[in-house]
Amino acid sequence: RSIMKYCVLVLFLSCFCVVASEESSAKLILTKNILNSIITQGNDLAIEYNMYNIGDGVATDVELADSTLHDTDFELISGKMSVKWDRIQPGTNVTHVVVVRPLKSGAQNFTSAVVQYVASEDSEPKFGFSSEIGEVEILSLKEYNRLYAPHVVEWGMFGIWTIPSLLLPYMLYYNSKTKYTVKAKKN
Amino acid sequence: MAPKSSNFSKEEELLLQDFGRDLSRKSSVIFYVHALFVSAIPLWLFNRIHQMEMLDNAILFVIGTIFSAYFVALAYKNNKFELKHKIAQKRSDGVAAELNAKMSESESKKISKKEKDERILWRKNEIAEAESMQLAVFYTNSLFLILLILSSFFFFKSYSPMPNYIISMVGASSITGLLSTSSQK
Repeated sequence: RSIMKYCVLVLFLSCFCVVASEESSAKLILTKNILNSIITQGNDLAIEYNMYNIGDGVATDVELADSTLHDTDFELISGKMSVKWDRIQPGTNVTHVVVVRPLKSGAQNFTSAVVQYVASEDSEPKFGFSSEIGEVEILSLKEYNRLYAPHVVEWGMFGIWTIPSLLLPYMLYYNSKTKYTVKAKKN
Repeated sequence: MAPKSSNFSKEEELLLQDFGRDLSRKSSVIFYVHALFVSAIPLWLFNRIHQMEMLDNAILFVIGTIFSAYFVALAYKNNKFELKHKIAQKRSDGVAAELNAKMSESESKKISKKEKDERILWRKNEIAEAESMQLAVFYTNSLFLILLILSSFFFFKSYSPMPNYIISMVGASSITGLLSTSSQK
């Protein structure tokens, strides 16, 4: 019986130790999002990285890298594909934004960015992956114009094109109608 | 008297022809030119707004325009026939007044009442013909363009341009044609 009690005590203590050791380690969560509602070839595309330290310790030597945006598909406009933070305090978050310009249209798969950090003092660096955006359709400029441009000039010209088909016959009809209706009233 | 009476019989023939459904050659040409023009207007919208290349789709555009023009011209013809009788009834007084004003006292006494009535009928027909043609063109074109815009920019907006063009042109022109036949009752 005393052996049982001893075992329970050891178990209880070991649990406590685990909790105590986790208390001082950092845990980073990384999300990757596209800020644009419409993604177009040749127009700026903003990608936002949000990093939260949900652990209890300070994350040190944090390095965020996104190697998924290849040079052949995207032109870097502003921001860096790889950023470093010395420390991220527990319970805080950092945000990083990169602006790129898609060079090609069509479906593009946006996969995870990678974060590397030291969770607690003297421990090995940890790796983490961001959330994935998944496959996104990049519209060609032509497609974008088709769907979203206001086309004020085009509709204005359309109005002019309809003059011979609508206004002209109606004017002729109206003139003739008034001519013969007014005369009938005079008599 | 002989040449005059023959002249009248010719006019009568023309009157008979004019109150029928058949069109004179001139009217047909006018209708087909109008129909082709209004059927070609959507090309502007599909080229500039739906971004369809003119050269790439040239065959489709030519077929679409001719197909639509056929039905639009049919609608002109039917609508014109419908409108002509309505207009002719309304213009009687105006036309009689115009003819009376034109003819001098002696001239109006010279001709018989029958001849005068025939002249009025003739003139009335001429005016009703022109007015009904213009109104039919206006009415049919409006209907066609409204249907086309509704179809192309609302109902089938999400379709890719080529099926959108085909559905919109076929739909708008055939409905325009169909509505013109149903009103003949």
